[in-house]
Amino acid sequence: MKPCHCRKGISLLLAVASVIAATHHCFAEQKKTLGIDAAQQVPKWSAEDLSFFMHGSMSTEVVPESVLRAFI
Amino acid sequence: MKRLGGLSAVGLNCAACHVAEVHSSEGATPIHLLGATSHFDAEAFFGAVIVATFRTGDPANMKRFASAYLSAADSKSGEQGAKVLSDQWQKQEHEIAAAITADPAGSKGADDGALHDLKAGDVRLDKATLEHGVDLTTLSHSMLKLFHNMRAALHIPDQPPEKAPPSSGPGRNDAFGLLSAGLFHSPQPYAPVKYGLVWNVSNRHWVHWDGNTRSPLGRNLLASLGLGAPLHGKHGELDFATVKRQTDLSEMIQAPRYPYQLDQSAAKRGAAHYAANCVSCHGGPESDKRLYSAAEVGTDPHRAELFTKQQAALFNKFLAELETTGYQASKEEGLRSTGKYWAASMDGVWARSPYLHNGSVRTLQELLTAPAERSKTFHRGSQDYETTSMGYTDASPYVFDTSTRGNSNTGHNYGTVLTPDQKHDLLEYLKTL
Repeated sequence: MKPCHCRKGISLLLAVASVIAATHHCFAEQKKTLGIDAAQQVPKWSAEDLSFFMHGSMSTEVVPESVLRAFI
Repeated sequence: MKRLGGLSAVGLNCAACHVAEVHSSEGATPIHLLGATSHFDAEAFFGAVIVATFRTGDPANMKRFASAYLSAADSKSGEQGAKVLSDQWQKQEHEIAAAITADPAGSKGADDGALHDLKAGDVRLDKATLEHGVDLTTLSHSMLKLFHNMRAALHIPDQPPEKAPPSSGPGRNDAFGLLSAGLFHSPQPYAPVKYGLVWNVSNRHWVHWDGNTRSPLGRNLLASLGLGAPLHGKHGELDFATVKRQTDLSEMIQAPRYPYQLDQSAAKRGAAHYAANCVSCHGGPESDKRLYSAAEVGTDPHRAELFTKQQAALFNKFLAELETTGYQASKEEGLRSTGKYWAASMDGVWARSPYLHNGSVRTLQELLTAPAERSKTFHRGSQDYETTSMGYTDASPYVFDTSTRGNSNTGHNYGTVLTPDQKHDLLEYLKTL
């Protein structure tokens, strides 16, 4: 393999590694912020799973935000 | 949401009722427990919103609402926008009042329970529309139609009820009773329960306090349709994929481990008391052997009595005929009537305050007290957890009265004759589950 291809390959691997590390860090921070022992309670959930469970839709949207704020 | 004039909207999901935030003097930061009974008062939330929709069917209140709505919808409208609104309102005041008086519930033109077809611009109010000159009479009537759509999605009739229903308080409601009234127009006697625990669900075949449901997906479809997803005849207007995903995720939640200090020596001693007093009902496989009659346990019978065979038939028929994209009704019936209570496994029992199906006993320590000596009233809603007595503190505005129908704290007198030291040991052991 020519040196320039090797450098590109290493750069790509480093980029992928940093994305994975950042994602893991984000999930860890998310769990920490929420005070959830996700590793124990939901070890198979991804960060997106946790976010969806906490904030995702079940098609029950029924109170417009602007109406709710006005009522309050 | 198209049915809400294109406005972005909020609603409940599983986490609203089944994620609890717990504070303790032993922990620096609050913790969130997935699957635990939350402190959310769903009835109070929806009750407040619904009452507000009815009260805004009044010209004076609609004027105040419009001013607040302008601020909420257009944060940059400021004082100038408020003045323009006020001036234009004054010019159109008589027409506005006439339109509201003619249809205060916003129901004209919609069949019973049906929703109006609201266009995106119908409920738009901001500085730009004011400057172009908005027809506030039409806007006011459109707001009433919007309120009608909100109530219709929640199966609330356009006539305000004569009598307010009982208040279940934080962390409780009468879900099946509300569904029966909303979906089948078949009101049932009030039988409140605390929001159920959603962990280790995959170990169970039948769930709920009376073991009446073996279709978590069917159950969550019912929840969605009861909490705001509109029903048009047999057609449910919902995103089936999201309901399924919520269901699939909830099936993976495991019981939370006790996060605070515990007395290991006492816990070791407590294992024997657990074996002698608890395992015969709460141990073993998750089978129908876990079902016990209210008479046998001595606890409040109303929930067990509520879900009759007729009720089960109504719900099964509903789920069999439900039409929604992506949903295929199961060949086997998902609900049944047992007339009994399920003795749940004790994993995470530390996090299940308050106790019994109706949340009528505040702490585990009190559950080990003779029923006659348990508190007749206590405050429910506190998120502060007492590690000694194992339950939330007796604080918060809502007063739980055990003399109210459905709230009895009698029965389940197992372990009540243990000595104080033995009870301490048993409680420490329960923290390890």
